[in-house]
Amino acid sequence: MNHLFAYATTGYSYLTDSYNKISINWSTNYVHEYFLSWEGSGDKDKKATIDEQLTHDLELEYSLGYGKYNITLAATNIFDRASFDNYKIQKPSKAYSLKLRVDY
Amino acid sequence: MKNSILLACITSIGLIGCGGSNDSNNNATDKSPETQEKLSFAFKDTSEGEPEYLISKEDIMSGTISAQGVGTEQLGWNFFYPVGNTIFISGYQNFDTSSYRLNEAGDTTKLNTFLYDKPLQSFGRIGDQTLIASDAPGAGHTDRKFYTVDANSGLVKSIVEYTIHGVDNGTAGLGTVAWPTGLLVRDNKLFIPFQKLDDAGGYYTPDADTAFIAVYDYPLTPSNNTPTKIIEDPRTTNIGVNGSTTNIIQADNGDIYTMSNGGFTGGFAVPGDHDNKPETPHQGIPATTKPSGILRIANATTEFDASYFFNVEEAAGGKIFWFDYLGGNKAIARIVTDEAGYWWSAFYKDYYTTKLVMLDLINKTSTNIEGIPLHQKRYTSPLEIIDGHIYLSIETATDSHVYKVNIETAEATKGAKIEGKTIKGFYDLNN
Repeated sequence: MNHLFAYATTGYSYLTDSYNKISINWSTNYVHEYFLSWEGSGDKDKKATIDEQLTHDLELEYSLGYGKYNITLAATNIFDRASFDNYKIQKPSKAYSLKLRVDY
Repeated sequence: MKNSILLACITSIGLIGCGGSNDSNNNATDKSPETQEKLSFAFKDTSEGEPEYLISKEDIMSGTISAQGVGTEQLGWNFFYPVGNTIFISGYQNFDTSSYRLNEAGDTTKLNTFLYDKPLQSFGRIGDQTLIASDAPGAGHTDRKFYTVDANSGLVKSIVEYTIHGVDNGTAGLGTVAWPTGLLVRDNKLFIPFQKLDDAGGYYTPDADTAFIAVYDYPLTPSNNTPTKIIEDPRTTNIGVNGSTTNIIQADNGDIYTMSNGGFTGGFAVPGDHDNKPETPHQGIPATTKPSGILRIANATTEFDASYFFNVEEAAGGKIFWFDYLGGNKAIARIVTDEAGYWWSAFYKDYYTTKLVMLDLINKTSTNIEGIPLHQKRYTSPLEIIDGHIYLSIETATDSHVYKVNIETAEATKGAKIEGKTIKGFYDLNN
């Protein structure tokens, strides 16, 4: 079975001074529709498929103290598109998360 | 103060290919003249996950049969059960039943789908219009659900919660679960043969020295959901083999026949006798010493016929594993010729131990069907008699073929080679 997927991410970072940094990142995931089972078996129009999936994630990060303290606000699947982990097992729709990270 | 800008861009595109098949001009597209009607059949593939396909094809007696480019895909393991010109496909892992019919172009099209929360495992039919089905939890003490389904629409007409023996609704008792192995309606009576399983869910058969059938007034309703009586017979063991949908059959004259297996390889065992591994044979503690055989409930009666017992074990040289009715008081059956496997091994590949026989239900005789090798088979749909023949797929260690059996002469003819695991049933959905 052929399984086409694409992943793209782009980001921009701005150092407000040598101490603090603001970053913004955008990620896009694309998975083309594909068959659950072996492509050659069965009528192609009557096979179980996993639908095309296109999702976008946006992440905003503020780092302090040369990257020691990090606050990340992320919005995943921002356009609320259906996506799947496995056949008919749906992944979360639009979700927000706040992440606090200390590196030492 | 220092400003700096970082711009990062990462892109990746992937293509995973596993060499899609390119022989699309196989049997998939050979369009024979429309004069020959298609047979539909339940094909199980050997590719990953062993998906099942409902396929229709004109010629199944020559060449090869595969799912290459043809067939409606089904999920997981399914029961295929025909009612009239409708085929119901009920998932054991995927909890729904889909129904299909032929459209005007002669292709199978879906009628409908309904869902359930416990898999349906027992099936029956009333005429050409109605499917009846029951779930069959093998542990705990819950009501069973009885489904009545319209074969014209594929939709559920009613669901009634019912009980079989007193213990299965939670009132304390024997510590067994009544596990329905068939559904048959005759003259406003519903017959449900059952095995008694341990209620801990071990699928042991602690009470295998008796045949049991619960008898109900039909139709079941919320206020008529318990048996009017349970009939018992000590001459053989619990009726039915796990997963077979023809453990109870009706002859032309209204007589009902039931089959009892009772063997270790057919799933009958007591705790402590084995650990269900092929390398550990059982310890010689049979679940029952009663012979495998066939009981009768004569037309217009609701008791076992005391004058009738067909000792199949004696007549055919092994325990009966499957049977179905052919007409003229004859049945076709599979007989386990070697009980030296392990628990349930008659259900599994690598145990090619069943032979095919024709049983004369009146004269209590068994005739081997020549030309059919020892084989293995887990599930066979109710048979459809098509122009005096039935069709079966026969699997051996080396290959699988369609066989056509003349029900008058018991002659078998070898047909197409099956490029797949098995075909569970053949259906003429045209008429």
